[in-house]
Amino acid sequence: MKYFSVSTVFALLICPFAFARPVAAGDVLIYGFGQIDYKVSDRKGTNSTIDITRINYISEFQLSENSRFFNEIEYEQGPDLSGDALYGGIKLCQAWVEYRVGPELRFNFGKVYTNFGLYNLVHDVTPSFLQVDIPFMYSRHKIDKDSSFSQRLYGKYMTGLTANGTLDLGSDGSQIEYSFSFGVGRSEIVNDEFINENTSYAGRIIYRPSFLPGGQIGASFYTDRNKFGAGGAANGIESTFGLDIQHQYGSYLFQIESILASFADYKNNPRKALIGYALFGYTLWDNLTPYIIYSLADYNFSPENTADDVKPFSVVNFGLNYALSSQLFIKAEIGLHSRKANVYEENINELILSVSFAY
Amino acid sequence: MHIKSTYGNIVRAYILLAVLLLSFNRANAQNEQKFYCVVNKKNSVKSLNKVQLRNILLANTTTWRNNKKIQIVDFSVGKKARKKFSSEFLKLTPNRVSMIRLKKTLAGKALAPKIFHNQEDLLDYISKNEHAIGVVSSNTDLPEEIKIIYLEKK
Repeated sequence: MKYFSVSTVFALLICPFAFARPVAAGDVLIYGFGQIDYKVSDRKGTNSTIDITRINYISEFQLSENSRFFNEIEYEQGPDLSGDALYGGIKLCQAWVEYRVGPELRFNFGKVYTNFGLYNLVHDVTPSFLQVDIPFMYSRHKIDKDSSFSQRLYGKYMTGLTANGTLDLGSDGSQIEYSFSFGVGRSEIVNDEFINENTSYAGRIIYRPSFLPGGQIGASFYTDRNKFGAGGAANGIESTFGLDIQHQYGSYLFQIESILASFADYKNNPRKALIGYALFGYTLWDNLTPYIIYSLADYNFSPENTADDVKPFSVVNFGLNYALSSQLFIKAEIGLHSRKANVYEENINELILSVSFAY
Repeated sequence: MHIKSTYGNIVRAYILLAVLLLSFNRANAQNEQKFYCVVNKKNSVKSLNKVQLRNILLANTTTWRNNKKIQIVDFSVGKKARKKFSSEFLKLTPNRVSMIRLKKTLAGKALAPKIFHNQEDLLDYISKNEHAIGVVSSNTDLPEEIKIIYLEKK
């Protein structure tokens, strides 16, 4: 049943364009990526697992010289397509139509990854970054011990209109890249409910100076009325601001990024959360890249803190990324969590071995 | 107390990176003349500066001024010519360049690069595709349909 409904949605999305004009060779591009993980953790009650974490199919259809349709479908956790399985899932990650006015202005309409921070546009594209998963600040956070679910401090997806483009600053090569979106936020399942009815706004600006090859600085924001509330207050307006700096040159990669989120807790007291990380990687012999990521999180950053004993915590990840080819990577990562998992349990450590590929 | 501590650590991390970047000694790309940046003769672009070329080859710039998508063509990662150009001009390892392009492609920002194992096929592709751009060794004999993009000094 599940397979049938997803196929139907997929067919409905594709067919109007397929019938609109014949798809000639060269008009359709198909690519994608996948990730298979082996995880072992000392968290209570968990066993080691091997997961087909995701297989994603991306297809792109040229509709005219300046417009195209782009979509991405994810098979998560290797779902059983008979429809009897109680695990895994198939979801539509992106489906948008783009119209290019010029390099300075493009419009995208549909479901998109919110252009937020260094990683959200490639949220799951693990072969395009060093680590197994993107940094902890992009994860779902269980802010409060009384909450029965966890949420991101921004919307991973948005469905609506995005205006974006790249502006050249003079003739020296400096650039500004921008993106502004409005639509309905979250567009994913939270607390067993698909949320996409509340208006959301997001924006991102990146500056690449010509005097510093490989360097960029970026700022992002996301705001919406969150139905379930990151801190427990339902239907509150929540905002998150992000700042990031990246420099990759020679064999080095540096990244520093942080977000400051404002929301209300379940007693409707204003609250802020500050989460950040620093990443350093150094590539040896072009193939082997050891890296370290140090993440810090404070779920209760407000001076007017009235909540109880939620303490800041850190996560340190040591990893190795080995490129077997430009499209196939083997990764090994050890995560040391000084935090108490789900805020109040004991500390946890985990090891992940991962194979990721792009095609 | 813990607020100041977390905030302080994050601010210190930003300051450390800023100091590293400011003290960063940019090496000059002295060997770029060993390479020719080439496009199809129908392409109206005549010259680029080094930063603009870098932005194109790393998919920060994804369309030509006429709004057509840029098609990067390159050698496979193991090829000497690619290694040399990546390290001497782009100042990145070839696999790092691939990862950067992969990120842009799978995010829907740029066309996937066309990868070739030999120079003849690469040049043949550019000679037939108006929006393609590639880099070849400066001692290459170029077909008539291909022109060299002049690299400005600044």
